[in-house]
Amino acid sequence: MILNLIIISIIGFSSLYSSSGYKLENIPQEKKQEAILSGKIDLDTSWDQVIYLSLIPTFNEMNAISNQMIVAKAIVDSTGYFEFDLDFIPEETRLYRLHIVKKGDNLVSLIIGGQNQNHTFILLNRSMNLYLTVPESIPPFTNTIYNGSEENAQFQEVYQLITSIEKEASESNSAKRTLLYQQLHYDLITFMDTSRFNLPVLYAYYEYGNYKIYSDKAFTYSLSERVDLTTPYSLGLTDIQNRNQNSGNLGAYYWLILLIIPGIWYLWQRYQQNDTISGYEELSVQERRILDLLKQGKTNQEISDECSIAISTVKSHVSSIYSKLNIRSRKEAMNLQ
Amino acid sequence: MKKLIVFIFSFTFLPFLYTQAQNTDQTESISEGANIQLSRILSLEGESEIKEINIDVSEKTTHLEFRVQAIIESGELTIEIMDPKNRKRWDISVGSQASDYADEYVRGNIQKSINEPEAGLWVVKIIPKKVTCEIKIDNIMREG
Repeated sequence: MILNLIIISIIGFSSLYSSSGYKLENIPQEKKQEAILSGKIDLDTSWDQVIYLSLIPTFNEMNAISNQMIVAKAIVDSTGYFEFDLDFIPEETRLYRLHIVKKGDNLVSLIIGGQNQNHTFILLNRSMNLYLTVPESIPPFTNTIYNGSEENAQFQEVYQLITSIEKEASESNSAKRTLLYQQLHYDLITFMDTSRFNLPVLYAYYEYGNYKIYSDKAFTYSLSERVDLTTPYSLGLTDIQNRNQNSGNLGAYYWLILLIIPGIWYLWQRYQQNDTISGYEELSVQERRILDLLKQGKTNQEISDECSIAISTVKSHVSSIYSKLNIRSRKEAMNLQ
Repeated sequence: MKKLIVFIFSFTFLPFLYTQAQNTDQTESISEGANIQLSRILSLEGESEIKEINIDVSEKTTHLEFRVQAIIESGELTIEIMDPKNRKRWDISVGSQASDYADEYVRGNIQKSINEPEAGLWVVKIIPKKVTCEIKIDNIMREG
């Protein structure tokens, strides 16, 4: 019976670790070429004709700026053309930010919101040859076109979705705001389900946490199986996978405990019985006779009278019986079979 | 006699009526669109103690706007704007450390607004890390 339980549990354990869903495509790297980020940007005369590139290490730092984050700068010429040589950036796709500054302002300057918002985000790796078209707009970068990069187009799709909903929500009353955020929740899920690019999906998941209207652990877990969790942008999902694995392990432990405890109890009972049987064979004739009287519930005095021995002798025999049979009381002696 | 009584009564009553009309006008003008603008400037020198600025938003507030400008000489500064449910709505982080692009200062600006904001206590949380900086916080509330 125990063997059957073990077999059933093994089958149960394997079901705990089954996975579903499909993996995000491993997008084949483009043929090795010179990695360049270039483009044309129309800036009015209030802006410096310089554009800066900063590395954003995680999504948490998208609204952070420091001089240490800036990795390159490019001069914008009279035609609006700029060019970055990207040979120094990592092979794997990372998130970067382009920003410009107002004339007279310090180069390390981040403006969030308002007509002077001065930055945009971009995904880059060393294999990319990317060209941006940035028409004049207020704020700048509003209508940026990412030529030749579907991954960037998808990242911008989710970024603009969130930005536009937030803008509309801030201008709406609270009832409409609730509806907008609910729709955004579903739009983000649809995006995560359909996009084939790692970083845009991870960014959508990062923002999804702000608009989640219900918890869908199955969706989140299946997403964690599809994305590349080695990237520093997957922090939230890595925690979820670790928690799921741990909870899966915990589930296995619970099964083990449920099996082991009855097993141990059964084995202990069998041991005690064996112990009693072997102990009985060690009893002397007189001790066996006294044991029979104990089983009948006789007192020490009655045993003394029946066996014609002193009470002290009876006590001595009783103590020996207890020791050999590994019992501790008359009650246990009476329960012996 | 009768005419005298009417005259005296009118003379005393009419100013009362006029006063009531004035008060109504003042009330109306307030209810039609009172803008409350609060400005604060904080200067920190090598500080790391978290500070909070509370902004009490009433049910009557129809529009709430934050404009925060920070100029950092050294250290790091994070500014978070929390709503009455203690959710972080907006944030900005600005830091200045030694690098090839080190300059005199680092600037961060955040400008956000919301219609029909949740009533209650909004908090501007200032989280410095050994920062020397100047922060200007403008907060505009429109009522009615």
